[in-house]
Amino acid sequence: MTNSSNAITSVPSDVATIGMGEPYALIAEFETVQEVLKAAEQIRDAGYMSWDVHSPIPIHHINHAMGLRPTILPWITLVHGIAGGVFGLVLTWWMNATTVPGISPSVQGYEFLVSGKPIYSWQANIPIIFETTVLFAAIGTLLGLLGLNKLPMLYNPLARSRRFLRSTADRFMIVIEAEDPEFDLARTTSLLRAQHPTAIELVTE
Amino acid sequence: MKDVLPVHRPETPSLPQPYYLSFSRRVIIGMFTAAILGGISAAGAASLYTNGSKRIALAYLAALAFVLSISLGSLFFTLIQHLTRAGWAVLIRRPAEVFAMNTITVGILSLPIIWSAYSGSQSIYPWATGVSVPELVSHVEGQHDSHDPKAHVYVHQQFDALTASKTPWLNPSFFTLRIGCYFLIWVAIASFYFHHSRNLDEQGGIASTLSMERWAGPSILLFALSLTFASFDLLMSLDPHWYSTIFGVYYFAGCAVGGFSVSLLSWLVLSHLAIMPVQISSSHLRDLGRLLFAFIFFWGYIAFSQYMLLWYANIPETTRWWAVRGASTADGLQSSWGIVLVILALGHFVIPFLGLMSRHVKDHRKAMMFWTIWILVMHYLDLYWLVMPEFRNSIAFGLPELGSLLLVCGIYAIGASFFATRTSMVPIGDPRIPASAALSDAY
Repeated sequence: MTNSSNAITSVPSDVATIGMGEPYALIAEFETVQEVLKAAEQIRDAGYMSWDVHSPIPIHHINHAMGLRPTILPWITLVHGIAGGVFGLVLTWWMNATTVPGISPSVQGYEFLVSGKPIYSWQANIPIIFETTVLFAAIGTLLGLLGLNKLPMLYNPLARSRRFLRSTADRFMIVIEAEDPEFDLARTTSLLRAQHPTAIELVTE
Repeated sequence: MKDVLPVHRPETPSLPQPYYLSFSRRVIIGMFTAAILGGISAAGAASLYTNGSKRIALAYLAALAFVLSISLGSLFFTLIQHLTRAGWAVLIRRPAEVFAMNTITVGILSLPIIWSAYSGSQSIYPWATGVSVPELVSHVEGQHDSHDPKAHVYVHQQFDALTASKTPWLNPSFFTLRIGCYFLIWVAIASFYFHHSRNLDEQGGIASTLSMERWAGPSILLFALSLTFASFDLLMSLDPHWYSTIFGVYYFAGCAVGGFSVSLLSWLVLSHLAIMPVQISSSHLRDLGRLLFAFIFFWGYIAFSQYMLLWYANIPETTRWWAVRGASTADGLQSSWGIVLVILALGHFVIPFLGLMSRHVKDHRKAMMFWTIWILVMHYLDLYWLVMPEFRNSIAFGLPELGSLLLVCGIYAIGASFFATRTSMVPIGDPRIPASAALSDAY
C-alpha cells in the first residue's frame, strides 16, 4: 500500500493531518447535496474503487453518482428464504410423519394422529413452513446486510477526525481510502481540491 | 401550513399540464356493442340450456362481483392515499378515483340481483324463497338429477330449519335494504373524494386536501364494514348454511388486487398510447407493482387461512362449501371444480408471486401489462369459482358466463368512460403534484 509518494511528509500544507501513522484515507467536506453529487461523479470517473460518501440524510441517485452496482442482498434473502422453506418442510415431515427404528429418542419423530387427518397433512404444516421461510429470510437479510457492510467494525480511524463526525449532523463527506490502487496522496488531493470542498483532511492509521 | 404538507422542491419542477380524455366514436360504439352482444348471447343461451335462468343469474352475479371488486379496490386505493397522507401516488390517482366513482354504475347493474332476491326467486339465493320445507325438498330433488351420486351435497340449498333460523338477517326486504345502504355508503364516499379532488384542479389551495384527509379515517371504517357485510350478503349467503368469518377479508383481498391491477393497467395503456402530457416514471410503476405484489401474497395468505381453518375444524356446515368447490379428494366428492381450484392456487398466487418478485419485471411496461391482465383474468376466475359451483357439480363455462361478463363489463366501461371524461387525468391542482411528479426511489 505504501510507497514514497504517499509518505506523510508529502502532505500539502493546506491539508490537516490527523495522527502520525501511515495514511488511511483522505476526507473532503461538502456543504450541499448538489456539490457532493457532482464531486462523487468526478471521483467515479477517475476510476477509484475504495471510496465512500458519508451523508446525514439519504441522497437519491447517489448510487448512480458513485457508480455502485446493485446490491446482491435480495439474492441472499432469496437463498435464505428457500433454505428456510426446505428446513420447515423437512422439520414438519420428520417430526410428525417418520419413525426410524433404533435411533435415539431425542431425534426420533413421533407419528401423532390429530383428529383423523393423514399423518402428514401439508395443510397443517404450511404455517410452520411459512414461518421458517420468513425467519430464515429475515435473519439472512440482517446478517447479509452486516456482512456486506463489514459490520460490526469496532475501530475505524475516521472516527478520530472531529470534522468527520459532522457527517452525522450537517456535512457531506467524501472519503477515499489509501488502499485504493489509484490512490496517490498528491494526485488524489488535487482531484479532491478541484471539487471545491470546504476542507480536506488526511487521516492516518 | 408548513407542518401540514411536506415541503419538497424537486430539482427540475416541470408542472404537469391538465389532460382530458376523450373517447372516439369507435370506442364508444365498441363498448355498447360488447354490452348488447353479451346481453343477447347470455339471454339466448339461458333459454337453450337446461336450468338456464339459474345459470345466467349466477353467472351475472359472478360478473357483478368482479366489477364491484374493481370499484371497491379503487376506492380503497384512493382512501389509503389520504389516510396515510401519501404524496407519491398523487400523480397517478385519477384512474382510481374514476373507477371508484363508477360504483354508481355497479349499483345500477346490481338491480337484477336485488330484484331476484326481493321477488323471492330461487335462482340465486336459497333463503330468498321462504317457502316451507317439504315443498322445497321436492323442488331441489327435481332440480338436480336424482341419478347424480353427488346430489346430496346440494342439500344445503334447501330452505330447511337451519336456513329458516337465519331469516331475521337473510330475508328479501332486509337484504334489499342492506344492499341499498352499501351502495349509498360507497357512492357517497367515492363522490366526496371525486368532487374534492376535482375542486382542487379548479381552485387549488389545500382546504380540499385537508378535508379529504380528515374524512379518510371514518370513510375507511365504513368502507371496511360495508365491504365485509356486502360480501357476506352477495356471495357467502349463496350457501346459507356456510359461514366463514374471514370471507370479507378474502373478498377485500380480491378487491385490492383487482383495483390495483386496473389502476396500473390504465396508466400503462395511457402511457402506451402516448397521449398523456406527463409520463409515469419507473418509480411510480415500481411502487404500484410492489403494492400489487404485496396484495397478491395477501390474497394467497387469506385464501389459505380460510381453507386451513375450515379444513382443520372439519364441521359439516363449513366443509360442504369446499366439497362443492372441488376441494375434497374423498370418493364421490371429487369434481372438475378441483381443476379450477388448482388453477387459482397456482395462477392467482404462486405464479404471479414469483413473476412479480423481481424489480426488473416491475420496471418493464410490457411485462406489467401482461401481469395485470393475467391477474384480472385470475381474479374473475376466483369470483366465478366462488359463485358457479352452486349451479352444478362440474365446470359450467360457456355463453351464459361469457355473455354476462361481456354485458356487465361493457356497461361498466361505458360508466367509467363517462366519469373519466369529466375530469383531468392529471390532478394538477393538488399541492403535492410537483413532489409526486419528481418521485424517485433510491434505485
